[in-house]
Amino acid sequence: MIIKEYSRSIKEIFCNIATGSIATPGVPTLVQVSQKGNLTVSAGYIVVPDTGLYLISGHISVALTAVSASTRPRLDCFLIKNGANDLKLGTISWSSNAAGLGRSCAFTFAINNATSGTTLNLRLVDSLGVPNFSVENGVFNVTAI
Amino acid sequence: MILLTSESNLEYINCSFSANVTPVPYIPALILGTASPNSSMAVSGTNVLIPNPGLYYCQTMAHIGLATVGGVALPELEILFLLNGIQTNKINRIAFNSTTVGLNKRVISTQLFNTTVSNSNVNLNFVNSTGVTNINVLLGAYFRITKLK
Repeated sequence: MIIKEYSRSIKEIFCNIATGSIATPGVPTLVQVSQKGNLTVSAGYIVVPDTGLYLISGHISVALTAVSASTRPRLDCFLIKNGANDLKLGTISWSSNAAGLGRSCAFTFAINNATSGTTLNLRLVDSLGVPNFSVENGVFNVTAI
Repeated sequence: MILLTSESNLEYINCSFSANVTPVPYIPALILGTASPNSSMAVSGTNVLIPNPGLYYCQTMAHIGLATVGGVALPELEILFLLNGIQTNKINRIAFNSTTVGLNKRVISTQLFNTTVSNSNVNLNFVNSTGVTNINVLLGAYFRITKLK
């Protein structure tokens, strides 16, 4: 009898999302917290060198600093894959435009990475008039499964 | 014959948070709900005890209400993930519009974690980020860990 032991190598990267005010929606800065395997942060993006199945999880918390004309501001949060919007992860919306109001968007999803060197990040898109906001905290994690 | 073995065998554990009104930071006591028949995981003290290294999938629903409130006008609470007592990940944040007692919010979080050592323990920590002095962890909040590999 041959018993083939299951073995695996850990590939994971945990990143914080940099905090601070942002005048216009865009791509947040990733700050690497911990990492195992060959996943890295390069030029603001998580780089996934190997093909395979990965689980992505995290959240981003955003507060209003100054408010646009919209009384119900809204930001869409997208996954960026290789520089292009790939998936809308969620929408952060406010029922009031009072400065200081914070809201979060949590996400979990899997990707099947078919090509090597894929880059991943988030993008916040102004869908209804949020010109000034502050990223209060957030994480963006990728783990091979 | 080649026998491929899996370490998984549908191991999981479900826990509830004990309802409590307490100042933060707060590591909730976990109450064992159910575990799969062959699960090696158990609740020990306030933590989930994970005897075996591996890759685990963790789902959390936290339903937080304001009990009595002090501090800022827009209370916030951060939910941190603890692995072996060390904060490894900030998994979510709960923000309130006002300090009205009774306001409550629910967040759902999912994440993976790897353990490379035996006898790890896992829990959450609720941390006051901007002035929530008292919270109420409502019944119904749960914590589920499933072994993937």
